[in-house]
Amino acid sequence: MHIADGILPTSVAVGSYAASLALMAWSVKKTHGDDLPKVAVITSSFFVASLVHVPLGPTSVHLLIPGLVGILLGNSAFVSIALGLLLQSLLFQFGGITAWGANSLMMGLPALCCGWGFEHTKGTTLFRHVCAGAVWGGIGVTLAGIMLALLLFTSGEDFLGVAKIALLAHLPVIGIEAAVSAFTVSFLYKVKPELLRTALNSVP
Amino acid sequence: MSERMKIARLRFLLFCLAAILLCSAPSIANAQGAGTASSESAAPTAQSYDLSQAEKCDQIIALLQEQKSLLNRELAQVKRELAALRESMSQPGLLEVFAGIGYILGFAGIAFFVQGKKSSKNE
Repeated sequence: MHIADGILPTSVAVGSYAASLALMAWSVKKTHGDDLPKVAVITSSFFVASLVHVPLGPTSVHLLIPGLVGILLGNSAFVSIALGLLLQSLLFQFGGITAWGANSLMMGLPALCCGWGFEHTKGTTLFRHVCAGAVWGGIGVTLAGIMLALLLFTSGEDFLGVAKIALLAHLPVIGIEAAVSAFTVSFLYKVKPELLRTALNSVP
Repeated sequence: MSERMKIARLRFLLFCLAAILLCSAPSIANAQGAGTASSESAAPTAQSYDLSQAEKCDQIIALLQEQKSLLNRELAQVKRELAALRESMSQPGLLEVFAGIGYILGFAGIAFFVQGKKSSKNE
């Protein structure tokens, strides 16, 4: 789910660049210094996750994990995703460099939403944590698909058609991501629950 | 006598024309060849000569077409292989993955440096 060069109109590309840079600055400001190693590791995971291809019938889909990044990083998720996407577009040619702003918004905003959502629904028990992780991991991909359709709508595409195609193509991804998020959350809850608790820990 | 000669010459010219047509367009050739063969019988030497020529042309064209289809098949195969190669070339390799992780850790290092400077200033 990447937007390539030359698809979006210039005004949208420039606008999304500006919005992404502003959100990135806000996200950097919200990042606590002690969280930096966690941010770096999760950024690396996000960067590499798109290479994990799952063969599915005639095509193959790959992980996106915006939901999991949001769950684990909270407010720092945006900078993590923006950096990961920048490196992906530079090194892997995933998505165009002129569409970086749009791609960051497409993946970063769902990540922020999932972070906030998870923080407010996770409860205190392991079961609640796992359920919230699965739900928000799946919602991350769904929101990213809706964002993709919204962004393509500005280039004159049919909104509902694109949204339907994007969501249908990523239906298995939603399931896989929900499972991956649930597994990660349950593992972290047992092994290192601080990682989940400090998700929205922000410096004033 | 002279009139017969004239008619014979005219027929010969017609045959030449038909032969040229036969060589240039094999699809038209069949229809036209059938027509001339039934109507012409007065000049057997010219007719057989033209027909053999036309047959040769047909054979050559058939051979050429056979070769062309063979070449087309091979070209399609080469094109498929080229597309597969391009696809596999565009896949990011181990080098890119480690380069990206290195960049990320480098950025984290810069962030740590900035943070360290800030905290040391505060002290």
